[in-house]
Amino acid sequence: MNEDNDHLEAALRSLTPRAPGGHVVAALHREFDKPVTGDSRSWFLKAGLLWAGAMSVCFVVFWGFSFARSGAVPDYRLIGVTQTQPSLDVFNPVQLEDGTYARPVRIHWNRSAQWEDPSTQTRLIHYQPEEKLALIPLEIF
Amino acid sequence: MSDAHAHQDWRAWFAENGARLKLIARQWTRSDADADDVVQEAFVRFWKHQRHMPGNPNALVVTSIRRAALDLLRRSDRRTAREKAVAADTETVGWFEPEADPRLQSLAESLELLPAEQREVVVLKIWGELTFDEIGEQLTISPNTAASRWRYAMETLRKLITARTYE
Repeated sequence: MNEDNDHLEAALRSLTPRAPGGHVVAALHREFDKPVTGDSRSWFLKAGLLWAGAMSVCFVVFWGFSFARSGAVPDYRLIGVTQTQPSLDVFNPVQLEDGTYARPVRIHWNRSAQWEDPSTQTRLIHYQPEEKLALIPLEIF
Repeated sequence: MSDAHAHQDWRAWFAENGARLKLIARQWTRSDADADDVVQEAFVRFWKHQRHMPGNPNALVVTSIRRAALDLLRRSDRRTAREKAVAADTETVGWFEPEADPRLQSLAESLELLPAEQREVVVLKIWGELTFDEIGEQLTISPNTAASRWRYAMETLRKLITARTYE
């Protein structure tokens, strides 16, 4: 069987495939005659540079995107609101324009609210002092 | 990278090998004209980008031919007029030069009748000058499968030749 195969293989090898058309040969010769402006070495170099450039751009875009994402859109959540006990200052009585008397008082307290971004463990604390002045009319008998 | 084939005369190389390259291309194309196109495109691609690579250029050229042929097949669904014009040529243009010996002529015609998967192994082994390992790489099959297809092809060829002899 192997001997048969050898004969068959030898017979196949003796066949002559048809040659490519003349236009193929002519086209190849034109290609060979062109001045070599970009052989494979410069092609590899260009490809390498393009690859490095593309990776740099990707890195910058990714980094910029991450930075913008973390900086521009913080995920702060309200974790607490507090208010201090109001304090009262009482001043000496004063006479008003209409001749009546009143005692000025000042009430002040502080309010604060806290937000926290769990992803960065950062806190935003909003501190707000509050103050009110009032006149308490005095009756003089 | 050093040029491994700096002194190679590629015109002479193609003149010597062009016919067998076209036969290889013919295995994956639908017409003689397509095979010409594929050989031209594949060889230009090889010559521009791979001719400096070390080793035997044959395997690289065969790989280039296969890629170009597959590219053409993918594009072929979108092509119309030209293919229709050459469609008739598919059946009329033989793959080999006419042989004076009727047994060889019969063998040439029988080869074209083989199942495609057997035929491409035969062509790659004889005219592609590839080993079964290299054929396996080209066709993404195991070397054992390539060798098995070769044996089936030889068996089928014998049957075809015998049948034609007694026609």
